[in-house]
Amino acid sequence: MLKGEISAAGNGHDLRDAAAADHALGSLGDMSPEERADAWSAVRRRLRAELGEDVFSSWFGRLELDAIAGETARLTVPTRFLKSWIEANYLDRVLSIFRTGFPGVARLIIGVRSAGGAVISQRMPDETPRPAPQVQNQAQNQGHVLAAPAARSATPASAPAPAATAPATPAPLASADADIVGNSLDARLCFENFVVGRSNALAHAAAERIASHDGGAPLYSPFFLHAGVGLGKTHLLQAVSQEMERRGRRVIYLTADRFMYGFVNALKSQTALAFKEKLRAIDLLVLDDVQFIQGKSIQQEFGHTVNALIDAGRQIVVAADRPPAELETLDERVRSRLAGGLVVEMGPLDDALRMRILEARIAAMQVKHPAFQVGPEVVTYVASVITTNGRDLDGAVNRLLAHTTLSGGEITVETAENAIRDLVRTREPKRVKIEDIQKLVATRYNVSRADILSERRTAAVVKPRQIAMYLSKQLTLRSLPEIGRRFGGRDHTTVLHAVRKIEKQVGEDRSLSEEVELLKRMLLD
Amino acid sequence: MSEAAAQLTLSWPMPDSFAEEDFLVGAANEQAWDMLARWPAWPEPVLRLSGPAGVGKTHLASIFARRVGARWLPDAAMRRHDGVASLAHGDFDNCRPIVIDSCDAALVDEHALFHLLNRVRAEGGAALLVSRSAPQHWGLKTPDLVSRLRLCPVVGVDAPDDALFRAILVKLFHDRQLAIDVSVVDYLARRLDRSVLLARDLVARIDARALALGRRVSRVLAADVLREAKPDAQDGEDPMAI
Repeated sequence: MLKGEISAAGNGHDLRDAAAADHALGSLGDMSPEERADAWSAVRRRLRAELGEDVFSSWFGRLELDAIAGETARLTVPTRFLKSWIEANYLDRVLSIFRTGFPGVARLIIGVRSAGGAVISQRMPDETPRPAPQVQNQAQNQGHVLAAPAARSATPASAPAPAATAPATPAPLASADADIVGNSLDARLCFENFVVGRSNALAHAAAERIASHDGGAPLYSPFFLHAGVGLGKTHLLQAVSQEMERRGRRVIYLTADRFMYGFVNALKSQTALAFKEKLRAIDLLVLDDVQFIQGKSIQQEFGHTVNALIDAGRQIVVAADRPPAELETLDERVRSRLAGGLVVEMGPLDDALRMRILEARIAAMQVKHPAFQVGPEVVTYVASVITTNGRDLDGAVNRLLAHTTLSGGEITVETAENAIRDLVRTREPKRVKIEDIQKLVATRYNVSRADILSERRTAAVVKPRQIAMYLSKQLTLRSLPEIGRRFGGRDHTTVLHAVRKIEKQVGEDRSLSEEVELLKRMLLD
Repeated sequence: MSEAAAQLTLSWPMPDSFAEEDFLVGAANEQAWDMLARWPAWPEPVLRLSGPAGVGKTHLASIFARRVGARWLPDAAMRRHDGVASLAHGDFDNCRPIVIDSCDAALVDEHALFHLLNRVRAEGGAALLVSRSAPQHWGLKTPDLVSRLRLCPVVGVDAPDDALFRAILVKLFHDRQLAIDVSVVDYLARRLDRSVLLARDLVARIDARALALGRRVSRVLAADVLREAKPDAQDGEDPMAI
């Protein structure tokens, strides 16, 4: 196939390994640096003579010998384009000419000179010094250069913060003193925005009671909330936290991850005692996603904290994706302690609740995006197809909003269907094959696939054949000649004619247009 | 090496220019282009950019990254476990969007991504996640992560339509300083499968041929190259997956 493949990826790893191996054998001493430089000059002269002055100066003028390791030599050029160019066009010639000066070399790697090349030279102490790497085109050629934070540090300060989110508390980083910094709370996750239905009414009622409970012994500690993904655990937890904070109570909301991180940090900085003290001095500890808590000492510490807080009469609210008994990573005693308060499960959302969640989310979006209008039939449709969880409903609303933002058009059931397709679809979208199109169209029009491929020119066959060609052009990336080939070896002009004809008819004939749309959907879904 | 394997490897590596002026906007990518241009007025702080191989996702994402001074995370950064702490707790600037390319590449550190997304949402950052498929097909093991990824709005980049494909062909020739007649573009656009990768490869071959023969690029020359380059495509073989 392509000549470029000869050189593999050319990234130097294999060469480095080879160099290391070679070095161990001590065979690099065959040629002195002077001998090598002479041989390389001879190779260059020969390249110039054989390829001609123009070609040589265009493409090989800046070719340099970087390293030789065993049977492999690495040559470098300053740009990736030159590398591709030489690999694709001249690699074989260069190798044969190169071998006149370096008979032991069987393989060439063309590399691009960049800062990374220096690594190789360090591994090859006998190497002749090279000129400074020319990196002129690197920034342009490699998207990852953007990764270097230093390179971009001048710009970000001017970038405006997104208006979409309003962090209630900016979260400073956990510092070495034993300050416990909870996760920041999302102001949108409050009780007012929580849509109550049959499946979450108990959890909601309990959370509200805890949040409004004034002083004294906690009502139910711990309050353990469990539910599958996206059913509103975090929302309720944050609502409780924010409500109690608003009432002047000392609240810490921690995800399992933040808890582990804070504790590990405290251990490292030997402030674990202070960390624990502080943790135990609060009114409400909220721990989210405790199924993620792992590590023996962390679990123990988690157990101690839970015990200490309960014993001290504090309120603990815990959420997980499963009931306490199934938290395998936790110690048996901790599990039973967690199960000793109130355990509530939040169930899947029923139809009515899904509709109301959608309506509430849409209304919330309309505050900022007044143009965002979703008709009741669209809400009903979305609620009927997104049955998984509340977060997917949010995802659907996000997609509808994105659609409105981009197209500015009204949202119909049809556009909604398109916008949320990726949420509903369980399989990967199919890559349509011409063969599938032929089979489906044949079945649909009561002819055989052989008829479609045949030379027959009766109307009963011509029409489906043209439709199949049109769909092949629309739904695959195939070229006209390729499509012709798959339709019994027809000429590409025949395909073009069919495509244009059906295109025109679809524009004029509503029933044909519907028919074609239906076929498309059958092929794509 | 593994990053390279996960990334798309072209048998003919071209001088990919990720410059803004090299990106051609057409029906296949204008939604994505528009949405990225709207930042920070995105419907959600996390946006997914999705599309098949070789249609310019990385190019588009890198234009965005440059424009807004984003922090670019190659997928490898998401695979290291020590990445978790730094991404979830450390150095985080909520004025600076994060771009993760090849987010669906195997072995992404799921906890890192999970906490990063939570943090972006909670602290007012923004992130652009680039992938070929929808999150439910990434083989993720953390249901919570899949669920959060599904929450993000998606903009797609598709394979180019005929018009965009034509423009891309012209651009590819132009990039090589090859003057061509529009008939050559017409000729190729009709006969080439609509894949940017194939087009790039072909233009490079035509360029090489024209140079080797010392002739200008003509329809005849293009036809010769096309005839030779044309792989014997099998049905079901995906022209995008070369």
